[in-house]
Formats: sequence, C-alpha cells, structure tokens
Amino acid sequence: MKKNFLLFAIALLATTCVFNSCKEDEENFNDEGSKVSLPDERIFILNEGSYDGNNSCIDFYAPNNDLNSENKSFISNFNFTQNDIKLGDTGQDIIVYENNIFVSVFGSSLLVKYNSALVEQGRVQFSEQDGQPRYLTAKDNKIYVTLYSGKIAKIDAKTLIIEDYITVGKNPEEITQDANNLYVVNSGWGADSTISVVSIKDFSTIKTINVENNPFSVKYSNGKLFVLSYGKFYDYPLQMVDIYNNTVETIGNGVKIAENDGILYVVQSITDWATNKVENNFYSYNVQNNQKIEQSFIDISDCEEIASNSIYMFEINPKNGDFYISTSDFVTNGIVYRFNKNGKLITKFTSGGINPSHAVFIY
Amino acid sequence: MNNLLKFCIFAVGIVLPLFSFAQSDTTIERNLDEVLVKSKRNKFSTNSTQIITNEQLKLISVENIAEAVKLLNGVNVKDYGGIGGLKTLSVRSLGANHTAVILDGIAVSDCQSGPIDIGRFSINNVENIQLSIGHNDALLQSAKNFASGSVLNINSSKPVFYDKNNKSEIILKTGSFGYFNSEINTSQKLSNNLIIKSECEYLRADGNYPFLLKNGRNISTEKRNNSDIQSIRGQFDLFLLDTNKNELNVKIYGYYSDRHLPGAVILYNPIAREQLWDKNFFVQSNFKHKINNSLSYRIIGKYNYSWNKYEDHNVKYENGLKQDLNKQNEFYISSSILASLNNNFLFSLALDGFYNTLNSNMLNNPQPDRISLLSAFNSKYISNKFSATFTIVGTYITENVEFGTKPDLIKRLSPSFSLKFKPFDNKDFIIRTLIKETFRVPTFNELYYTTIGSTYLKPERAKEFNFGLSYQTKISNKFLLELSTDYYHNNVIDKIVAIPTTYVWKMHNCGKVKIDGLEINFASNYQFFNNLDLEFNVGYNYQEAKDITDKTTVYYKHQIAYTPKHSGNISAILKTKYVNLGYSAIASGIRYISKENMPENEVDKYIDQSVSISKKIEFQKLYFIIKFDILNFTNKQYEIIQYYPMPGRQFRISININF
Repeated sequence: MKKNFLLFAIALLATTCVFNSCKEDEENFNDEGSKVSLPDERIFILNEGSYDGNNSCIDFYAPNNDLNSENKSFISNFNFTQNDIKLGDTGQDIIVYENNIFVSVFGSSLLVKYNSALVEQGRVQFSEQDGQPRYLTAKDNKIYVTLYSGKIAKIDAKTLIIEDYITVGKNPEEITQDANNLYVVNSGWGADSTISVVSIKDFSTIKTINVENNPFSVKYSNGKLFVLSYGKFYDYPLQMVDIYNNTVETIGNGVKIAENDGILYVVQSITDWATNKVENNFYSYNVQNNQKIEQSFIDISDCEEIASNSIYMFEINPKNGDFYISTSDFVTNGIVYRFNKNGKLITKFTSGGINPSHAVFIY
Repeated sequence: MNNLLKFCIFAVGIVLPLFSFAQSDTTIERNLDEVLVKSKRNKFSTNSTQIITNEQLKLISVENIAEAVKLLNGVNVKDYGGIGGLKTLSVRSLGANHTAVILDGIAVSDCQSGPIDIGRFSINNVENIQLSIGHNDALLQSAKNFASGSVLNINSSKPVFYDKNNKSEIILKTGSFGYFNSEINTSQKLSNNLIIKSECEYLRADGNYPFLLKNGRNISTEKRNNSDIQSIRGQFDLFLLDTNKNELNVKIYGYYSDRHLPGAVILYNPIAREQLWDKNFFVQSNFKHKINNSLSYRIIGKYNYSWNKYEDHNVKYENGLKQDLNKQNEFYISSSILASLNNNFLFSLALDGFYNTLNSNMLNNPQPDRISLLSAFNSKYISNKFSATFTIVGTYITENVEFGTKPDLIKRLSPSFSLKFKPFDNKDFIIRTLIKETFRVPTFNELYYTTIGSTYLKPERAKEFNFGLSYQTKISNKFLLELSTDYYHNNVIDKIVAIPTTYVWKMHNCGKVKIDGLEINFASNYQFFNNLDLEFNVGYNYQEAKDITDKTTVYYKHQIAYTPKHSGNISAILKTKYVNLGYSAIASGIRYISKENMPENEVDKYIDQSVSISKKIEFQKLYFIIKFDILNFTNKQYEIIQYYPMPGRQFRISININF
C-alpha cells in the first residue's frame, strides 16, 4: 500500500514537472499540484448547488475537446478532484485574475483562491461582522468582495489579507469597474435601490445613483452601466445608467445580461404566474449606437427547450464570443448550452452540479 | 366573526359537555363501539392499527412521542436531530400533512405550518400510542378523526387508585449532553367518580453532541452548537367517570419552550444564531354519554392558543435581526352520536366546527382566518364473520383575508369503505381491506407566506388502498404468536410542492406520487418460567414511492426524497424476577435527499440500537422504578435529514418515585 502510494507520488511529481516545464515558455500558468494535465484553453463552471446542501462545485470544460490529448472535454466536480475537499455551501461568484481563480462561497462565508489548474492557494474566512460574501471584481492586485453587511472588502490578491472595508448600501450584490471606479448595486432585498460609485484610488464613495427597486446585476460597457432590478412587481427592468450625468433610462426587461465588444446581450423571461409557464427571449443592445436588436442572438431551433426553462448562467467567452447559457430546474444538475458568436448551437452538456451559475475563461 | 360570537362558540363547547353530564341518567350499559378497540391487546387490531403499549413505553428506551413513533411500522419520522430538533411523521409516504394527531380524543392542529412537531409531547403520562391507517376503528369520534389519511392517537393514562385516595409521582431523568427532565404529578380521588390530576414538567438539554464530519480528505469530529432547549409544561385534568355510563375529561394545558436551532451543518461556517420560542395553551373538554344500550353521544370543545417567535441574528438583515411573530387561535366544537339498530347495524354521525385565526408580522401576511365544517357519517355492519364500514366525510372550508385574494371555497365529499372477514370461527385469522379517499387543505404558510405562498392552491388529494391478513395463535399456554401483513397502494395527486419560476419559488399543486408497499409485523410472547417472560416485536416495511409527475424529467419514477425503500424496527422486552431488560432497533435503507436518485444524493443506511435495564423497588408505601438506558449504543453516526446529524451514543438514567 505504502509502496504504491510512493510510486504514485513519484509519477505525479514527474508528470507535473514535465507538464510545468513545457508550459513555462508559452504561458503564465501556474498548474503546480495539478493531478491532471490540462490544455491551454480552459473553462471553469461554478455550480451554486442547493440551499444548505454543501454541494457547490466547479467543473472543468475544455472547449477544444483536447483534455488529456484525447477527445474528452469535461470533468465534473473538478475542485474535489484537485483538492480532495468540497468547495462548500452556495458558490456565489467566480472570477479569474492574472490566471488565478477566486471563488466566493456564500453559505460557507469564504473566499477561495485557486491557481490556474484549480489547486487551492489559500482562503479567506469572513467573520460574522463582515457578513457573507457575494460578488467579486479585481483590479491592481486587489480583490473586491461585496459583503452582506453592506460593505465592500478590499483584499490583497497575493497575501489574501483584508486591507480595508468601505460601507456601501444594504445587501450589495454584483460589482463591476471601469478604469477609476467600482460600481456596486445595493439590493437591500427590496429595501434599497441604489448604485454606489466607489473610487478605486482612495477607496471612498463618490456618489450614489438611484435605480429601480432591488437591483441585483450590473455590467459596464462604453461609459455606461447596465443594471437589472427585480422591481417592485418582479418585472425585471433593465436600466441604462449614464455614469457622468446620473441619468437612468429603462430600455427593456431582462433576467440576465452579459457584455462583449460593445454589445449588451439580454435574456428576458416572461412568466405566466397562473400556469407557471416561462418564455425566454434573447435580444441585444448595441451600446455604441443605442440600438435595440430584437432579433434573437441565438438560434434555438436545435434546442427549443431553452426558451421555456429558467436561465441560470449567461456568460460570453471574451476570446471568441461563444455564449455559455445554462438552464436549471433547481433540483437536478443543470444543462449548459454553448453557442458560437453567430448564435449557432455548438454543443450542450449536463453540468456537474445543481444551478450552474457562472463560468470563467482562461486561455 | 366578532369576538362575542367567538366567545359564545367557545363557551358552548366547554360548558355544554358539563351541562350534559348533569342531565345524564343512570343505566349501566356497555358501549358497543369501545369493545372493538379495547379487546385488542397490541399491534394487531382488526383494522390496520398498531399500538405501542404502556409497557413498551416504560421498558424500552423512549423519552418522547417521536422516539416511540419510530417503532411503528410504515412511519417515516423526519427528525432534524437532538431534543429540540423538529420531528414530524409521515405514514406510508403520504406526507406529514395527511396524518391527524389526536390527543385524548381531540385533534391537535397547526393551520399555519401543517405537520405537528411530535417531539414536543412528553411520554411520562402516556398510556398508549395508536396508529391507524385510514382512521380509528371506533365510530363515536369527531369528524376530524375520519378526515385524514391516517390517525395517531396519543392516549394519556387515567389514574387508578387501589387502597387510597391520592397518589403522587416524582420523575427525575438525566443523561448525556445536558439532558435533565423532571416531573411531579399528583392525583386525587375526590369522590367515587371524580378524579383530578395535575402535572408539572421541566426539561432542558444542551444538545451539543459530537458528530463525525466527512469532507474528502478531512474527517473531523465536530459538535452541534446552538442547539439547547428548555421547556416547561403544566397540565390539569379532571375525570368524571359515572360507572361506565358517562365519561368526562377536562384538560387544561400550558407549554412554554425556548430553543436555539443549530440549522444544517454548513462546511467551514459553524455560526448559528437562530432561536425559537413557543407558547401553547389549550383547554379541552371531552364528554361521552350512553343514553341506553343502543344510543350514545360525545361532545368535544376546545380552545387553543399558540404563539411562536423566531429570531435570527445576521448582518444581512436590516439592523442585524430577523424576527417572525405568529399567533394562532382555534375554537373547536364537535358532537357525535352513535346508534345501533340491532346487534348488527351501527350508525354514527359526527359534526365538527373549527374557527382558526393567524396573526403574523410577516410581510404581506393578510391575517387570515378559516372556518371549517366537517361532517362524517358512518354505517357499520357486524356479524361473527364480517364487518363492513362505509364512511363519508363532508368538508366545507371558507377563509377570510384582510387584503389580497382569498382561496376558493372548499366543498368536498370523501368516502371510504372497509371490510373485515374472519373465515374460521375457531381461528384468529382476519382478512381486511380498506379503500379511502381523503385530502388535506393547504396550510396558511402555503397560501400566504411572502412570495412563496399561492392562494390558487387546491387541496392535495390522497387515495389509499390496503389489503391485509392477520393471524394470531396460541401455540401453548406460554407461547403466543401474531403475524400480520399488509399490501398497500396509495396515490397522492395535486401534491403541493414549491416550484421555482424565474428564480421565485412558489407553491403549486403539481406533484403526483404513486406508492406501493408491503408491511410485515411479527410479534410473540414467550414465557420461559413463571418469572421469565419475553416479548418480541419485529416490523419490516418495503415501499416504492415514485414521483410520476412528469415523464420528461430525469427523476420520473424515481423514489421520492427522504423515503427509504427498506425500513424496519425491532423491540424486545425481557421480564425477569429481578430486572426488566429492553432492546430496540430502528433501521432504514438508503434515502435520497432530492428528486433525482443519483449517488450524490444518497444518504447512508443506518441502524440505531438502544438498550435499557430497569427495576422496580418497593419500600413500605413507596415504590421506585430505576431505569438506565444506553441509546444508540453502537455509536452509529447517521443522518435522517442530510447535514442534520443524529446524536451518537447517549446515556440516560431515570428514577420514578411513587407514593
């Protein structure tokens, strides 16, 4: 038994050495400690899991089907494969920053840092006073985490030390940035309706902008913010916010938004509460010329079911404009659909967990 | 409904039985109906009924109703662990809302959340616990008894006096994890037919038991935290027994508890700050009168007040605190009459009226009230070989809300039919069958709870079919054997489930479940010598409870959540000249935490075994019972609900002092 283990360890060490040495010249990856040799293009999918289920996990997906130089593309629960411990309860957000992966875990009150092969590098446990973590963004070697205590924590990306806090609104959710500022939406679970604008340089609030009630999502594009709120009547207004003039204009409705190359892509869900039926529309908005494009940006003729299920993940691969959209029934493992930039379905596959919610792209 | 009217209903309900008692005449007759129930010694009644006897309760390691109910076959107790953890029961996979819990003949109800937390009831003064599939066999019952899928009767013991007119008992119990329970009760015989009894009970536990937490390469022993409980119960009973002709029981009950809730075990985050307070007060009166050999009636009245406060401390809430306050009132009256035409035909009619209110501080709660009128008509034919019962229950329910929409009126008839056949005159062999259609109404939470509730909800329906055989034989004077088996087939239609749509969960009537099961019970009693007696019970239950809601889902025909295919229990009592020994075991196969039956959703099988040793010591006019228990003596680490670990090995010692 012991001998076998030793052999295995040597083999593992050998493979990682070989793997690392051939990586060094071309990429800035850190795959140290990886049990699997990974291709250069990688996608990590965060599954939120179910409430109190401790079943959040991160899947690995190789978009070029070149995992292990075979035609494989998928490893479910990859964080467990690599680290042999679970991620925790309710993975909330995942970002990639300088080829490291950062994940906020809401139920477990954690921020976990992984290297580019999803081998854990360290973690931050948030205190009761901090509150549970929500969403992430990163800039200049700092990770910014929204906390349910109504604060943003500024954390050093290398040392993982919490350096500072700033108080924003109630129950802050998504956070985004431009060159100078952080933008965070404060939901207050319906008791707030603001965006806080925070200067990155001196980490202080510059101003707050009022939007529709209960905002939960914010994206930045070309000097504009796009904000989704639940709204007083759960009608999900999509608002365009002019950062300089503080003007807010409702341009439609939507439940998910993603931005790529000056175009805002929107998923709109219309629910008939009496019959419990959902109808999804996929429209886009050209930020440069302020034009709404009603034409669906994906062709659903090969996957019509996507129009009538709850959309849970909506991400765009910045490298090639591929859309990654997931649906969830909140009970079984979600389905991930991948479309190319022109909206053609490339593939669909079952996720490794319940509620696949976010994806990050490393290339 | 104005306050005056409420008061009138209440006053009539409580006073009428007393008044009726004064009016009664003095003929001494047997109640035909009662005989049917009382003749059965234990688990094997003619109807599909199981009983846990007083002796089992005293000699086996059970300390509350929930622990006892786990020894009933076909019952699935959802137990969140620890003394303060919620414990509800579901019978034959119908769901917890389909079982009526009846305490001394009168229903215990919770219109807000539905299932009754049976862990709350003390076992100290319980005579027996009886579970009936369909309904209790006795005909002179409230309509509520006939209106559910199954009935759990908790029957308190009535004081019996031998040579004196008063007696008292002190019970002291202590054990692992800060468990302490004390009770003092005293009974007084005021006249030949008037008895009063008062009880006062205190219970506390820290509940900080250790458990094994497995997380990949990390295996650690953790402790449950924030799981302490304190409760006080006071009860006063009055019994009037007019030589078997009249019976009156008035009960006044008060309960208070303060508990912390540990919540699910969350990896890396042990913080739990939830707390729950409960207050419950009720007064109930239950009167039975036999007018003559062929006519008797019963009148029931009850007023129930329950209050609870829930708090959670977390910076995510406004001002760091979430606080829910709920108050419920219930006014209940019931009258029933039983008539026998001749020795073969019996008829009964029961009429119940409930008035329930809920006051809640929850957002958008419309402060609903509900009026429920239930009627049950029974006709029964009995002969030496046959017994056939036809029952029809009529329900009328209407609700009022202060704002918003209110649910539709409920007007329904639910029939049931049961048949028993005893083919051989000289053999205790019985064939029985039951067909029943019932439903349960949506709870106030399901209708009105913030965004989840839906006033579109209809009642959830259940159809039951049972076919069973039972055989009882005396192999020798010292050896008694009983065997029974039942096949059952149930359907749950319009099951009320929470469904998410665009990230908002809402209640809908859209579940369908098909249940097929087989239940086997075996019991024996063997007397080795004069002073050595073994009682042995085994139950095994196999059930397939399949989700047949939607063919297109991956979980179509999968076993529904938290329902084992295999489950069973054993209880054994060995009575010797010196001490009594008890053994019990509860076993369950794997279960799934969610709809999809995949390995990630599995919860491990378990067997939880307990032993006890007890001795009765007499000392002049006093007698003591000393008992020592080891619960879960193999220290099995298991969960009934995922991430709510159950306690491992525990010790308990108790002493009863009777004088």
